Formats: sequence, C-alpha cells, structure tokens
Amino acid sequence: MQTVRIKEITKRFDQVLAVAGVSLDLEAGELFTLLGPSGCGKTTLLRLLAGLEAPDSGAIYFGQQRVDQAPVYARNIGMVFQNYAIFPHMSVADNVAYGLRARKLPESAVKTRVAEALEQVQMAEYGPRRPDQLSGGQQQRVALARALATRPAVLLMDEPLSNLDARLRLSMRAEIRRLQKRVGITTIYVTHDQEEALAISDRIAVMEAGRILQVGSPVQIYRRPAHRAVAAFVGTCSFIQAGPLTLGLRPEMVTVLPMSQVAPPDRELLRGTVEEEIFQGAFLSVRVRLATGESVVGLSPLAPGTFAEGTPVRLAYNPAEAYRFDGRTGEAAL
Amino acid sequence: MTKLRGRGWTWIGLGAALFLVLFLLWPTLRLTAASLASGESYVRFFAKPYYYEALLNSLWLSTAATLGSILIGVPLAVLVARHDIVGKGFIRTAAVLSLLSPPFIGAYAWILLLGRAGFIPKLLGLQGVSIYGAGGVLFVFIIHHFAYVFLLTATALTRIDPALEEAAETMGVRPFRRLLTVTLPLCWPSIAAGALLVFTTTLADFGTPMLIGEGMRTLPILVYNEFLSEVGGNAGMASDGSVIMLAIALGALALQGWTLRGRNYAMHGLRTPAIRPLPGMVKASGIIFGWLVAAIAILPQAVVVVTSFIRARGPLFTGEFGLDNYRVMLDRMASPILNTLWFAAAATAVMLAAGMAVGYLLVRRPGPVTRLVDGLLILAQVLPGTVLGIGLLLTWGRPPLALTGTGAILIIAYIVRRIAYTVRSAAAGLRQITPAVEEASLTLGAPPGRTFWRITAPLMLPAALAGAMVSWVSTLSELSSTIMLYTGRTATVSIQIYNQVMNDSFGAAAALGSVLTVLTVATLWLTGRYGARQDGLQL
Repeated sequence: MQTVRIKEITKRFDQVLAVAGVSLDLEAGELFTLLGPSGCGKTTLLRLLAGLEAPDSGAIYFGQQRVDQAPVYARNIGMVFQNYAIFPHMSVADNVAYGLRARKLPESAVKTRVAEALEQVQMAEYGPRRPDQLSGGQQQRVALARALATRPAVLLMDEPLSNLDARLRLSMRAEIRRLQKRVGITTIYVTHDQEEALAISDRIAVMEAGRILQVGSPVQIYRRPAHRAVAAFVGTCSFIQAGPLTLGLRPEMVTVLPMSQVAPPDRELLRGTVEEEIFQGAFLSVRVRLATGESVVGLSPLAPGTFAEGTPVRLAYNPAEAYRFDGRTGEAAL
Repeated sequence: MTKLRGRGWTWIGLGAALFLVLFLLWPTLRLTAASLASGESYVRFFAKPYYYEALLNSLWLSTAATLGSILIGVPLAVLVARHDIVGKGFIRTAAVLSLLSPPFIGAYAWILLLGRAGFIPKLLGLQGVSIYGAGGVLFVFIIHHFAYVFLLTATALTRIDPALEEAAETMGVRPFRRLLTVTLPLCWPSIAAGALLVFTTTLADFGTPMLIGEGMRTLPILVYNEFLSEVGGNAGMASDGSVIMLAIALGALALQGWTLRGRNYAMHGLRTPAIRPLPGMVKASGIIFGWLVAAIAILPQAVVVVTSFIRARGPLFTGEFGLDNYRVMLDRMASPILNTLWFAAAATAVMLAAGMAVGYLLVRRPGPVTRLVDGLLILAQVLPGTVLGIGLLLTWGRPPLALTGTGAILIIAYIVRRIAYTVRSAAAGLRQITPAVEEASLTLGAPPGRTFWRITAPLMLPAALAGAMVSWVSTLSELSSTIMLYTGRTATVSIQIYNQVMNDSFGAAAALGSVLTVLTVATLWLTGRYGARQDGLQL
C-alpha cells in the first residue's frame, strides 16, 4: 500500500492546457476516482501518473519516492486500459505472466503467481486460452489479473467499464470494488460516468478544463457541490438566478403542484408553465418553464397526464436545502 | 512523451533517410541537374520525331493501359467481392500470379502463342493475328497489370460499411445505380491507387515493348538505347528522356492526389457486406468474363512452364519433350540463377528488417524525419527503374566509392525500388494495433526495447512478411534497373531471359522463366501457409 502525492502538475499539448497545476493527496489503499466530461484532463492526468506522458512541471510521489521523471516501466504500476489491450498473440497465461517475466522472476514463481492472479478474477481455467476466444467481460478480468500479478504499488484504471454492456458493467463494477478492497491497493480510477463514480469510489475528484473543482466523498460531491459545474455534472440540477447568487435545485428538492393544490408551509414558491412531463415509473419528472425563461425540473407523485404541456403550475422547494453559488465564479457561496 | 523515450528511433529514422537520400534522391537530382544544365538538348528532343514520338507512345500506351485495367479490374472486383460467381479462388490466384510474374515473361510467352511461329495462329490457321506491335504491347500491359486495380478494389469493396449501401437502397435506389453512386465512389481511393500503380509500372516497363514492340520506341527504350548503344548514342538525350519520364510519373502522382483530395473515408463498419446473388444471365456472363480474364492472365505462365520441357532449336520448338533446356540452363546459366537468389535474398532481408522499423516510424513516430522518409518512399515507388539505374551509375560510378559492376549496387537498387511494399504493408499492419497494447507492456515493466521485440514486432510481422513477399517476388524478376547496372559477372535470371529471347534462344529462356514462376508460386504458397493473406496486400 502506498500513498500518492501529486504536486502542481501541469501538462500542455501544443497550446492546449490539458492539466493545469493539479495537486492531490491520495491515501494508501483508497479507490480514488477522477471524474469529468471528455476533454477535462482526467485521462491525461492518469497517463502522467503512469509515465505515458511527461509533465511540463510539477512532481509526483509514490510513497516517499519521486517518480515523475522515472520511465513508465520503472514505476511499478499496474494499468487497465479502456479497450483492455490484451496481447492478442499470447495466451491468457502468457499475458498475465508478461510483467513477471519482464521482472525476471524464476519460471516456477511466475507459474504460481499467474495461477494466483487468475484465481483472483475467477479465470483459473482460462490460462491456455487465446484472447480472441474470450468475451469482453473475460478480457476485462484478464486485464485486471495481468495488472495485479506484479503486485504493483499503484493501480491505474482508464474507463475500464466503458466497453461493457450495461448489465455486465454493474457486476464488474462491484467485482472491481471487492477485489480492490481485498488486495488493498491504492487505485486511481478514471471515468466520465458519474453514477459509476458515486458507486465505486472512496473519494472523487471532479475535473473540468484541466482543473480540479472539488475533491470529496461521493456523498459530499453529490450533497455539497463546491461548484456549480459539479452540481451540473454529478446528478441532475436546475439553476435559477437570484440576485448575485445562482440557486441550484435537484429534482428531488422540488415538488410540482397543480394550481389547485395548497402549498405546504415553509416553502418557497415559483410559478411557471409545464414544458414536458416524463413518466419515470415511481414518479413523474416535470420540466417547468419560469417567467424568466429558466427551466426547472421537479418531481410529482401524481398520476401521469396531470401536467399537460402549457399547464400553469407552482414549484415548491425548501430554501435551506437549495445550493447557493456565486453567480459570477460559480463557486459555492455560504 | 518524447522526453521519456529513447533516442534510438531517431537514429533509425535518420539512417533510413540518409540511405534514401544517398541512393535515391541524390542520384535523381544529379541526373536532373545534368539534364537541365544543357537546356538546348530539350529543344532537340521536342524537335525531332525520333525523340518525341517515344514520349507520345509512352503517354498513350500507359494511359490506355490504365483505363483498360480499370475497365477490367473494377467489374471483376465487384463480381468477386460481392456476388455469387463460382471460381473466385481461381480468379484471385490467377490475378496474383499475373501480377507477380515479370511482365516481359508475359511478352515472351505471347510471342510463343501469337508470334510469327506462334501456336495459336498455327493451330487455328489464323493469318494476320499477331502479338507484335503497339496493340500487342497494350494487350500485354493490361493483362499483366489489371490485377493491381482488381485486388485493391476487391479489398476495398469488402471493407465498405454495408449500412451506407443499405441507406442508399432504403431511399429507393436500385442496386446498379447504388453501385455507381455510392459503392464505387467509396472505393475510389483504392481504384486510384491501383490505377497509379498501373500507370507508373507500364510507363517504366522496358522489357515488353522491347520484345514485342517491333522497333516501337517508348521512353524507357529510348533512354536505354541512347545511354548504352556504342555508336551514335547520346547520354544527354538519355538523361533528358529520364527526366521527362520522372516528370510524367510525378505528374500522374499529382493527378491521383488531386482526385483524392477531401476523400478520406474511414470505414467503421462492424459487418462485412453480404454476397448478393445475381440473376441467371448476368451471373453466367459474369462467370465467363471472370474465367476468361483469369485464363488469359495465367496462360503465359502455363506456356512458359510447358515449353520449358520441349526441345527447342533457336526460336522453334521441335515438339519433342525432354529436359534439354534445363541442362543448357544449368550448364551455362547457373551463375545468374545464384546471383538472382543471392541478390534478392540479401535485398529482402534488409527490406524486411528496415521495412518493419520504418513502418513503425511512419505510424508511431511522426515528425520531420519520418515525413521525409515517407516522401522519399513515394518517389521510389514512381521512379522508373531505368532512371534510377542511370542515376546510380552517374553518382556511384567512380571513386571514392565506385559501386558500378558490383552486386552491391544491384542490391541497393532493389532495396530502393521495392522496400516501399514492405514498409506500407508493415505500417498498415501496425495501424490495426492499438497503441494501448504497447503502453500496457511498458506499464507492466518491459522497457521500450523489450516491448518492441515482444509485442510490436510479432504483431507487425504477418503484415510485414506479406509485404516482403511482394518485395522478394518482384525483385526476383526486376529488369529495368538491372539492365542498366549489371555486368557479365552480376547478370541475373531476368537479364538472361531477356538476352536469350533477343537472341531467339527460346528454350533456355523458357527454362529460366519456369524457375522464376516456380519461385513465385512457392513463395505465394509459403506465405499463404503462414497466414499472410494475398488479397490484403498493401500494394
């Protein structure tokens, strides 16, 4: 188990600032997720940690050791790639043995470690198979076994689930989490899927345009967004202008009321007309257009068809719950 | 990324660039400079019909051969790649064989078939049908080069995303119109690549018009005669002819590039297009057409092999079977055979190793040096062999480094002329491999050298081997630069065949031609066995 420390890392590609002076401290053994839209710099930051890119400035430490100038192959990392990057000309066992052989382990030790690693991902039987005989999920497991077989200091995962179908994604997600906790390896996980990030992470860093907007536990990120962009990216959030402030309202904070219904006490009320009613099974989600032109999404337990387009409605929310952001900077305001 | 990577690749790139500059660019520039220095010779070139007729002949022959190859190659590709005709394997194999056999062997075989004492006129009692003359040259050109267009187009046709064609059909377009408006335009980059190959190889082909042109002058013949003839030759005219040939080849390259502007069709189809049945009559005519073309394409090889076992007296075959031709060949021509094998093997070994390295540079290490190498390879592909031969003689003919008359200069010429096949094929193979595979190896602790040898090289190897096979086979029969560069000691099989045919000694020529054919077929068979696919050749 090793801590990871990133200090003021900057990386430019031509004129584009991909990573802009990022600093992070990772605890030993935690699963830390870099979350953000595509192009936010999360994959570049991961590749900088791996040594697949060289930083323009800044420092990276694994434990006490500074590694940012070390070549990839000397960093003792394990990495799982988006498309798995299984070596197609080698058997599953040779794939897993690859890093061990590069480290010149005796062949007997290689054998036991390969068996161990395949066992960990429930692929013990698959050693002699060729990669093209494996399903996507199985390739994913082999990639994981291969990355862990060398017992690396740090595990790096680049959108590892994005090539799997929705059902498999859920079960692999749980499995990765279990395995990571059992091995106890410090893991940096990159994804653009906020739901995945909330489900899998110990902590999350939300990135935008090469910068980190917020670092926190999944609950903190969702419930106390430090920036308007965090609230917008993680979960759904509507924004309305209120003087110098921007209010952020999650759908579950807003109840949509027909004009006939009495509003509960202690609630702020907004007026508008229905733009769209979306049936979500357990409840209705209703998008309402305010007189200011802003759109707010709220929920309602009423029957489908209640909110025809153009119907005037009221929206009720608890002002104590609403997020407040500085209207200019987007940062959370007290 | 550069910062974390070794400098080794930079040196390899510089080495490749240096080699091509020394043995391709510098000779070409020297030849051009020497020719342009005396501008008045161009006046003479364009004033005298003796000279400018060679230019006109070359132009119309190559243009007609290109159009003919498209007219035969494209429909044949559609039939084979998309429709349910029978005998596809035969058609493909015949096409590959016709392409990989030396064109002058074709010319010679057609002399046997349709020449003055040819089998076909004799058998059918035909008068006045003969292979000699411009029409015969054009016929041999087309039948030997349509396969460039055919193979490249057939490959492109199987890579088109079928959804695009289905989209056209959902809009109510009939299949034939869909073919003309969607399918073939999408294949145009491949058709154009094949057409350029036909144009530049026929432009540079020395043997075919020499053997059956009946004194018809084309640019390579003019250059050869002016450069080598002992009486009345004019080295200045030879270099002028060379420069004009080069200019035409570059012009064709530019024209091809112009028709391709803005046409970068990356295909992301997950399915391959379906094989569609044809209506009965169309299918029958398609099969007849395909088989006829294939049979004509492969006929010369068959003729050469069969006649090699028939006793010959001068240009006449006696009709008795026997091994005399091979005895003569082994008695008198063992050294050209050994020369050919040794030069081609040495050149191919270099081409395979360097081709993989340069292919890697082209795909994974873009930069100024890589762009230079890429450009020089394009020049190497369109530069006529005769022109390269003269350029090498001019540049490396005298001390301090006199290579003339050595085997080394032939090996160098072969590498320059044919390495592009290996490079392009290796590069295309590497493009199919995601860089993540190599990155994964690095993250697992394998340094760049180990990563290259354990991961990159094995994954590139099948494609590189397929390219090296084309390089090897086409080197075996190389004539147009060899004829400028050989001396008695370094004569090759192709030179011997040429000389034997010019001396009407058809028996030994047939035996030598069969040796080349057998080597070609054996190479194809071996590479086919080891998984390199013929129809995926990167030509």
